Amino acid sequence: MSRESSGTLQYTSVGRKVFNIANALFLFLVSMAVLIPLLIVIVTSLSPDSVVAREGYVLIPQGITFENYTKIFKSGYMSAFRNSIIVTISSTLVSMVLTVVMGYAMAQKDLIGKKFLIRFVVATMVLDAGIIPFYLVVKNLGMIDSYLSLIIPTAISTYNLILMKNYMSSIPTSLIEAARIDGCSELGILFRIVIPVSIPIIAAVTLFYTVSHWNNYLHVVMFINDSSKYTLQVLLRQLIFQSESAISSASALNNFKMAVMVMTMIPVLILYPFIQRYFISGIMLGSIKE
Amino acid sequence: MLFGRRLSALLLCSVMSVSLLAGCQNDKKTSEDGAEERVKLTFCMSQTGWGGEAVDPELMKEVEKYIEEKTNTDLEIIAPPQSSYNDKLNVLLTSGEIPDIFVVRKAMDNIQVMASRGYTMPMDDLIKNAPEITSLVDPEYLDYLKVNGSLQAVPMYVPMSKIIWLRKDFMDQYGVNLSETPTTQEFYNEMKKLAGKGITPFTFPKFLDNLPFFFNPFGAYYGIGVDKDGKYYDGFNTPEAREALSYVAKLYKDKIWDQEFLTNENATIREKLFSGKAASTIDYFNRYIYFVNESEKVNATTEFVPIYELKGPNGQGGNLNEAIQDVICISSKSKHPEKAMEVIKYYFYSQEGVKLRCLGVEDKHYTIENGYIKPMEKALNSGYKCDVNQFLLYYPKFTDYGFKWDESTEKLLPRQMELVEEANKHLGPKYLIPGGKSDLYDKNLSAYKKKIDEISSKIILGTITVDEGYEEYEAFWKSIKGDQMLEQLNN
Repeated sequence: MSRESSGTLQYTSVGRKVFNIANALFLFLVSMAVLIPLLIVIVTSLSPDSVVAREGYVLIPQGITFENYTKIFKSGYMSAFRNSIIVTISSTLVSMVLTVVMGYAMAQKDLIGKKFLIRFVVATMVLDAGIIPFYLVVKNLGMIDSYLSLIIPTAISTYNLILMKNYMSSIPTSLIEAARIDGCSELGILFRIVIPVSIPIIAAVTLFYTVSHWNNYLHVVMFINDSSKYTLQVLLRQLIFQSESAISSASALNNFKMAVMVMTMIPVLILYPFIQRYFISGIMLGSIKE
Repeated sequence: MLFGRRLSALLLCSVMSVSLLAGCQNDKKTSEDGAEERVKLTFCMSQTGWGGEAVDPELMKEVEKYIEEKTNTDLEIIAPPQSSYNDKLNVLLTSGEIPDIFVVRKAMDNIQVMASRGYTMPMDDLIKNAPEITSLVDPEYLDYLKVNGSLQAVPMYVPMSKIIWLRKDFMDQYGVNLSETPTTQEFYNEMKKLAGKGITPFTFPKFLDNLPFFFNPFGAYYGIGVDKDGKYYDGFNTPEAREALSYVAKLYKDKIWDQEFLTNENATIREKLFSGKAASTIDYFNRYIYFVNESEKVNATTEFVPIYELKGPNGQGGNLNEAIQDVICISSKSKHPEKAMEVIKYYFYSQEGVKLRCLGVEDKHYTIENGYIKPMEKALNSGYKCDVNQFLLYYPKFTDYGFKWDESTEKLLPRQMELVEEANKHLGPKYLIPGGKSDLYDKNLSAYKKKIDEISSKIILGTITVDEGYEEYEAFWKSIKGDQMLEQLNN
């Protein structure tokens, strides 16, 4: 079987067509597996109590109410939201500065003790002492009940650092040498050459850090005592699990919980489209060494 | 020269006298204006414990300020979310930062560990000066909280028990006729009428420590019990316990028992009941008003009737007696245990404190309009619960709240009070195993509980027969040297 297209003769066998259809069907099912739960979350969050009490989870809207979202906005959400924004932005900034600088240093071929440094960094991915030693370190550094405890101890993610280092290792040496011959300082090389050509990986790693800091729950609970400093995740988790308590009289309906979930997703959903175009290429490039 | 000596002697005497007087001064620190100085205390309790469960930090601060004013303390509140409370507390305790006052959950299991690790301060002397507590708490319940004869905590709530709640509309619709204390056979026969009708006849939570409600009618005990002679025995491995498990497995097999019970949270069973997906469930005695109000909210209004206990073949029974759940401890490192006790007395054992804990601060959490209580919008939107149920959990009893509840609550309250009183007449057995009596028991308690839950769930689900379940259990019992453990307990 053949057909002509744009002046080129293309052959599509029956097997190929079957494969294409099966492929499309498979991808459709995978997309649905992701989209339907998301849709259920959104529709349930907008459904009235009476519908949710009857159905549990709702896929086809049977009445819409924004009551749950109103509740969230009036529930101290904004102060926790502000805390989350402060922690996420400052943590991501610190993380990015340290990751870029360290990634660049580790990408240098003539770095003294490079092998040891890499092994030392990788070891932290495998060896984890647990929360109590971690707590003691943070406590002895005097960071308990301070946002520094959420920013400093987790400033560098080993995984992100390796991605950054691999990407920077793949930048042609000739480019850096040319800049050096032109009289560019080491910092100048980093800021004028390396960072501009590393935008894809920087965008991807920024997204990783942002999501990770935004979703941080455990460290906030462990290191922060003052509830006015709690971030959004802690407040929302409490609102969700309030009804699970044996003695609580909180409402057990799902629509409020779903609305809370939507609210936590929003910042990442807003950020993602701006970074998406760099995101995939960043991951791909970071994983391949020239 | 002589004058110089006399002057020196006078000065020396003056200094000595002043030192002597200084030594006689009261221990209490006073500020320059003579007022008693505020003592700094840390207080760890979950986020929902600060004024009607409101989780808004500003509202929590209002409650904190109020307690500080009333007890003349400077509190540092640590209020982790409910779901992470135990994790946070464990980290604080293990790292040596023991809060002056802290709440321990499931105290009858955990208080031994807390005391043996030296986290808690013995309260024997402190309790002598706390008639506010001793006049309200039954000494038997304080005995539960003693380790090696020394009191380690005081209860936060009154003894709790669970009963079965039934929807009246389904009973009428399907002709279910059950008394408040039916026999196990009557319960089976009548609930069978609801099976296959598109509703769950009886829903149960995933927490198998609720099973004693079904063990009590058969004279069985879910765990290590105490026999007539006061000897400890393995309650789970008795013919009565086998009979109880067979009965529950039959309820499950005949679709009376919730087929998805292993995934049910407490919130799930409540929602299933008030929304009409289930006809009955097991829950605390103070849930009447909650169920009626919630069912109204979701257009599934009905009356709810209690089953206090099931009567077994030999007439035995009893509700699910949880006795003591949450308790309040004072840190072994506290520099101001008396002051910590004062805070406990105020917040948990005075009417004013309990009102503050259950409702929060007037004009911040709630307001009174025309004699009726009305939640403030900000509180209402942060998980605030302005309900009477909470009051029923605390020791100080209220006859006058100083306001009226909403019309529905006022109407339902007398019935709720009757139910509370009646539920307390049907308490099932509850035994305490003192810590330190058996090393094997202290070591294996957690594994033992897990194992009996695991075997019970397998038998109920029908994945193994009762005999197979007990074969597995006996092998486990040998592995933990169960007989030796009982010997240690009984000696």
